[in-house]
Amino acid sequence: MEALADAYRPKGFEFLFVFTREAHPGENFPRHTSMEQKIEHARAFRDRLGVQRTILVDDLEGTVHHAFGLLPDMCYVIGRRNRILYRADWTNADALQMILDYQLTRSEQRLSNMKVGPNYCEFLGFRPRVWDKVVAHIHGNGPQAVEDWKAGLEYWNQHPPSHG
Amino acid sequence: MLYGEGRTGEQLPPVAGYRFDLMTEPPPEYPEYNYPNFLAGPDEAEWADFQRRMRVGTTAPDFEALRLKDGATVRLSDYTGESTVVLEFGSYT
Repeated sequence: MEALADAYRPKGFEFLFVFTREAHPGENFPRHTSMEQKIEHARAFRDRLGVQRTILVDDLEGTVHHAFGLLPDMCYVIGRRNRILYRADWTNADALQMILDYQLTRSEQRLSNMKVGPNYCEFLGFRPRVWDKVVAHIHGNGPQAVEDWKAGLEYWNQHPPSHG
Repeated sequence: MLYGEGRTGEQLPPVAGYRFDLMTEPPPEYPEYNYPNFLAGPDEAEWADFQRRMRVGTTAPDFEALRLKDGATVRLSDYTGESTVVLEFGSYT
């Protein structure tokens, strides 16, 4: 995502990251109990993972997160007057790049005075599942996060999730 | 199984195929927003909720949030007035 942001920021896109509740809390990064702690976790996220995107910290109760849906890694593209142009239940840089290129084409059409009207589209994405990376990161969160993750895998074996 | 896989279009609920509507028992829920332990299952109901609202073409709420780099309170429209915005959600863990 960071590479995509670097490549598309000069083309006029802004990349915002809403910092939400901890998805896999553990001893090293427990759940947030104060705004100060949440901000501290957001700083760790920025500094340890080298995040250059603009980070917006949601309030402790997750007001913004509730408004957009409570999934852990959603992605929206939002245009003028806050119109939602694209959304995904999981951030997928490949799919997002396709949409950003499409938006650039739209801008060119607008500049050339081509008449266009909105049409509604959906598509099913396929995101890469890099479990090794996920598991390595969860180990860093603490032993409890690892135990919860293992229990989660067992649950998903019994109840396959509907979504990505 | 991926959603939609192995099902015909006729069997899909109006929005898309999600197991939540087919479950005989409701999926587990988190007791509070900042849950202490990750639990698989609650995301099922959250995903079904995600499917039902904030659809493409509608207007996103003009929320306020704290900008980490300077502690300023900013609004979504501060950015969408100038650029097309990619809005990602996530946490450290």
